[in-house]
Amino acid sequence: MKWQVLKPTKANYYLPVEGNLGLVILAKSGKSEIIIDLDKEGKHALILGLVDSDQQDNLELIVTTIHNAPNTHAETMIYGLVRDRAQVQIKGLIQIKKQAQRVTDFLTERILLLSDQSRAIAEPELEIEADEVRASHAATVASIDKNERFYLMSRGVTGVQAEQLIVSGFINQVINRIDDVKIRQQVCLMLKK
Amino acid sequence: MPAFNTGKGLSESVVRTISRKKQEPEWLLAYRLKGLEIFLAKELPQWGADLKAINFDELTYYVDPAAKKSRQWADVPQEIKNTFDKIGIPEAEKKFLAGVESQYDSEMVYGSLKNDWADQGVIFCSMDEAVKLYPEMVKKYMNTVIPIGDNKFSALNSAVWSGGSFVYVPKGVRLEQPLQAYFRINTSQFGQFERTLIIAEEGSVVHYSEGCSAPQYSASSLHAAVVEIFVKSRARVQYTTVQNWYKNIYNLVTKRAWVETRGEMIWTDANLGSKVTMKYPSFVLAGEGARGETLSIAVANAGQHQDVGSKAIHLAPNTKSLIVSKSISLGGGRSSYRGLVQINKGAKGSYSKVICDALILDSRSRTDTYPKNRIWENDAKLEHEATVSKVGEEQLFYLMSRGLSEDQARAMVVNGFIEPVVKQLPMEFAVEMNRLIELQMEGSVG
Repeated sequence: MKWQVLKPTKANYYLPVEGNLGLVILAKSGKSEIIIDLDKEGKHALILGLVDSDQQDNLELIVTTIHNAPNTHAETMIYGLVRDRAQVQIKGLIQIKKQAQRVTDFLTERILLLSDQSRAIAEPELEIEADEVRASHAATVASIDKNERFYLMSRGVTGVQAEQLIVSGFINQVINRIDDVKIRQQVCLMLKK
Repeated sequence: MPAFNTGKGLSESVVRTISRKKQEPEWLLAYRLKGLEIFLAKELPQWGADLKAINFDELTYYVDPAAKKSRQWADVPQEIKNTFDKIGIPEAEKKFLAGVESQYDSEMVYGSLKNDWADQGVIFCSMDEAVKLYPEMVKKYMNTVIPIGDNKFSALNSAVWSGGSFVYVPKGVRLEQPLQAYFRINTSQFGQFERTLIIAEEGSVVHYSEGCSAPQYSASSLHAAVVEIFVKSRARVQYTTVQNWYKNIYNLVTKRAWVETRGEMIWTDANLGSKVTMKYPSFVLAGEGARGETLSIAVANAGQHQDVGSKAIHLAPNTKSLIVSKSISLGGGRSSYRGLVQINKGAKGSYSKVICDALILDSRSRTDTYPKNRIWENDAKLEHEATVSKVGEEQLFYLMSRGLSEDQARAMVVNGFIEPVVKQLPMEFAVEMNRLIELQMEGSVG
């Protein structure tokens, strides 16, 4: 799998999948649309998105996966942190065209609202024209689970530390999917900045 | 016998004629004219199903009923009785079905209301009667939860509505049996625009159900209903629809409920017929602890587009919503789920869960999911999930090895798929649903 790290700076990206693709999207603010085109038979794509918005950030991220060829497979995970007064809008669209039989695609969007002024819009969409498919999406939007926080605090950490642990655990679910160590370290460094 | 109608096309004079014919008060005419103005000003929606084929100039907007109003079963026209029979309501059950109101063209022709309910102050009549008998109530609630200008088709309905039901359930009255209404379109190219208003006072319980069936025509027809429901504190309203319009009908319906403190609104909605359906039953959870639930089934067969879903608007703390949608696409049909969950700032402790499952039975069909989830409150939780799949070969093989034909096996899997929603329907609807699904599945081997 060939890994690529993308920090979107422009409005549109079009990525045809030549070999098997691993894509990491790191976004903070602004509007961008990323189209992943699976038009060659037998290709796989793993798309990992990490969004971390704070202050007055306004982020709109659209990730569209198009299956134009049969026997193509994709999985998308987009995890978002929304702090301060930020607003995050994440749209993930899976399109499976008529000729694209025997296709699987799964999309997960999870958004954590970390302040009482933060807002989120989650739009996971499906457009399916083939029948030999397995496709699903799931989205959740919530704040930090009070029970998880309480459990950690009962083990002796402060509230702030507990929240940090939960947030890093949340992010790690995505980062651990990067099977290339160098890329994983690079992403971790970029996240710390 | 030719019934009076306003002829083809829509204009201010058509609207005035309808209002005059019904001897309506001035304020209602003003509502109608406002509706017409907004309808003409608004563009067709740019999203959803393709509506360009509707020719508004070819439609007839009002037809006076040919049949006279009757309250005796014996007086009900044979044609309507046949419809009841086809849908399969057992004779014995009819007696239990609390009040039966059916719509013939745009007016109610048949109604019977159980006396003991009438004694409790329950009102179940046609909207036209309600305007005459309870004008204050109609004026107070009409066009409030769905404003005239909400969308192009609610505006059209506001301009030319006719028929529909008015239900008022007083404080604390609990109706055990569902109120029923049957709708059918029976004049070619005749658009039906019924208007329903349900008011459930504090602590009351009511279940209203409507089923639709329409005879066959050649020309396209339009059905644009508006249903407004008010669920007061601790009241519970369930609204059940089994929609099986003939496949040339555009079914563009606006349904919305306003739910107050600890009230509960449940939409059970099955869409099998029509050419195009655009329907998103909604609830505004306005009072603390209010609950809303939508359970829907859509079946899109050849030439059909079912663009259906639900909207949950959370305005108050600790409000809960659940949306379960099951869709089946076959024979080249298209079904789309389109929904909205909005959790406003201040709706602390609110929770919403949306489940959309789609079954696609052949390679000519299509299925879409377009949910929008807007969360403005961080002390709230939203969960959304959707799956698309086909009937598994192994499931079919197993059932066929037990002696079922492929059609039977497929129908059984499909009935199993929608079962979680079907079991929430009233008994007679559930039976009907299974029968209708089997009918749809006949010869659908993909």
